[in-house]
Amino acid sequence: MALVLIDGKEIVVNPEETLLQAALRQNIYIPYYCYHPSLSIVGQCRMCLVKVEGAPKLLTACTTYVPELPKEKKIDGKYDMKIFTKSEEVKEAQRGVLEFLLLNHPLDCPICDQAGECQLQIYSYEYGNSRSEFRFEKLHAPKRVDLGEHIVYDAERCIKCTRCIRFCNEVTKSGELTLIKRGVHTYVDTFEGKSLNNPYSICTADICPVGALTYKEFRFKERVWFLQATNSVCPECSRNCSIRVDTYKGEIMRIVPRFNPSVNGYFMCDYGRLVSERIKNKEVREIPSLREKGILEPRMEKGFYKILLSKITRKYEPKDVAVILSGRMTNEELESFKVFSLIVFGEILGDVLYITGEKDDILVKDEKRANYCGAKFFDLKFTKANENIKNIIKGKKLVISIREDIFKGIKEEQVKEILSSVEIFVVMDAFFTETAKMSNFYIPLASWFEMEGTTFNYDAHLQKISKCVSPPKGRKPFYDVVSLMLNLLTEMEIKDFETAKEKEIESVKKVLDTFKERDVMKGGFVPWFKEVKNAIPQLKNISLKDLAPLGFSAKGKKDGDN
Amino acid sequence: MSKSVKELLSDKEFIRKVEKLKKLYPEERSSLLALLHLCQNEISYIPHEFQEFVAKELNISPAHIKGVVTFYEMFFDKPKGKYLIQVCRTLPCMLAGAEILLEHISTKLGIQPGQTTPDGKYTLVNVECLACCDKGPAIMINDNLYTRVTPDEFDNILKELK
Repeated sequence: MALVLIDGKEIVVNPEETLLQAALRQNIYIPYYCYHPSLSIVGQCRMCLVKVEGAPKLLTACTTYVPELPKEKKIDGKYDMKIFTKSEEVKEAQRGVLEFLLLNHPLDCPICDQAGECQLQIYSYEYGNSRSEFRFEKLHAPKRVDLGEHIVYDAERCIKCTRCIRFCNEVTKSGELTLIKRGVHTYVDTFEGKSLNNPYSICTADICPVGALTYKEFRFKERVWFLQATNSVCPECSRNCSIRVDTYKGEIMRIVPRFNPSVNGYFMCDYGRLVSERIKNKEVREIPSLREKGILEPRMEKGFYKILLSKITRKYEPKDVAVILSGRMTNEELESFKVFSLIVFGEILGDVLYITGEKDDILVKDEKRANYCGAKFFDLKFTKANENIKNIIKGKKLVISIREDIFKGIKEEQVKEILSSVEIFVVMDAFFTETAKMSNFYIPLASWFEMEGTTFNYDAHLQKISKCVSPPKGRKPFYDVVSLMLNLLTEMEIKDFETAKEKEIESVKKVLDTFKERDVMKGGFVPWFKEVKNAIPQLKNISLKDLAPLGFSAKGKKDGDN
Repeated sequence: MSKSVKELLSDKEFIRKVEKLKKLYPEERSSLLALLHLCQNEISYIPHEFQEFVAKELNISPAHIKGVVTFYEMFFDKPKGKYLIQVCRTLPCMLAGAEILLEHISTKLGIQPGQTTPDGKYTLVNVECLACCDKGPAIMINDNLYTRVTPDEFDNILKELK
């Protein structure tokens, strides 16, 4: 461990970290382009030049390690190195580096997507010259190069920091990119006949400090300073990558990974990132609909739910009812489902449809829904994907499908055959899917990006999802639908409805209210849960009962009662 | 006529040479430059097929090989002419008239630096210092060095090339 005096301030530099890393860690800012915490160190951009006392020339902070000096050699009897980051010499060097970087730069900020979050712009204001000494014609380089399915490259804006190249070599290990030619003619390219098509390719646009790499799905969509950022979680697999959702006027413009060391690090996969593009193409219906004379017709909300409740509440034996749940449901939704099931059917039903797919060694997990871990905690039954749909539905009279498009890709005749014994088929989903079109009752729900909630990832890491855009009035989170239905139940007279006494409904409401109010990320849930996790290493063994002290109600016991 | 890449890669003698070069270095990937030279000596340039072959042999990404090939001016990834005419463009040669000489060669052959004549005979390139600063302008045709070359002298040299 070395002690360094940097601009008159003492910092500690560990043997395994560089000066830049140590400075950044201790809140001293040194400008840099090519350094990225998750990539190897190359010292390519020269932006982090600092003055080291005794060194013959300026050194790049990102490649400088600080050895501990023997006692008699220490500077001022104490320090191992003395650094200046704001001296005239350093400032002059920073101006010089920036001038070189901008020498052949087209200065096309008004049409550049990176403008507003561009390190060239930011550093030019802070460390650069307001004008260039370069009086000659600028060199031209390839523009609008299609590097791959998503990525577009502009060599004139590129500062050759090689972050994208190192990303492909070190993170995805696919090595598609390289620097070709030399000197001022250098630019990034792929090998002949190959393109940048790895599952994480868009991350190269994220880590590009300038506007050289942009991706087609966001290119020319919106100026970044108009975007409103909301933190949330990616729904596409059980990794639950932390994301930032950038919206503009109620529309999701892009999703970018948010640094979270215990979940996804700095990156996320392209598939998860482009979920916003996929949901844009999906059909939606905003009003609850009821099938009459063969046609699904929109209905007024209250009347609709009254008809639905009168037809399903305690009308069927639990053995005649199948409920298909989804790993897309948040903890709050799963919990409210249990309450709903208990009151409406008399016991807790439900099969969580377990959908798996391909995984890789980087981030993508094989479980293709976000909150399977949550469903495990809630003691719900799991059923493996599509081939078993038939077995779940077989012989049932009432089928409820929540947030899953269970008949996707199945022919209509086959669906009719599967549903032959079913009298009432209720579908609750954010989208008007193929399955929804076959239903007797369709309830539109808020989508993943339209509601609040919490979700557990595969490692039982709890994260909060946020309402990034507001859903239209008719589309509600599932817990709001349940809350509405339970309220209506108190108004309705239902035969054989004995368990749903007023007091019980009151306590259920309390449970739901705690869900809405509790901010789990700030509250005591996480530390408490870690204790449980340490005590019981196998996550499987953690049941709902363990969650009871925090207001997650256990079977047969409502926390409002005590 | 030189061999095609396919012929080269199926030539057992050539593969033996490759194996030998690979073993020459403590780390296999260090043999990259030697292998590239070997290929260029055999068929006068380094085609993409060979770059992919080397990538597989040395366990390096093909993109990286491309980076190396394009970095060095001495490597060609396109077929070059029978005679490679390299004209020095560094300061002392320029002062001694390299600019005029280059223009002369350019018009004489009807090609710009970096191009090859349609008959595949001559390739003209600019190079950095040929280490004959005292005897500029210097040019190098294949492995032969010519110094204090005037446009007239170049015409005489050209006549000798067949």
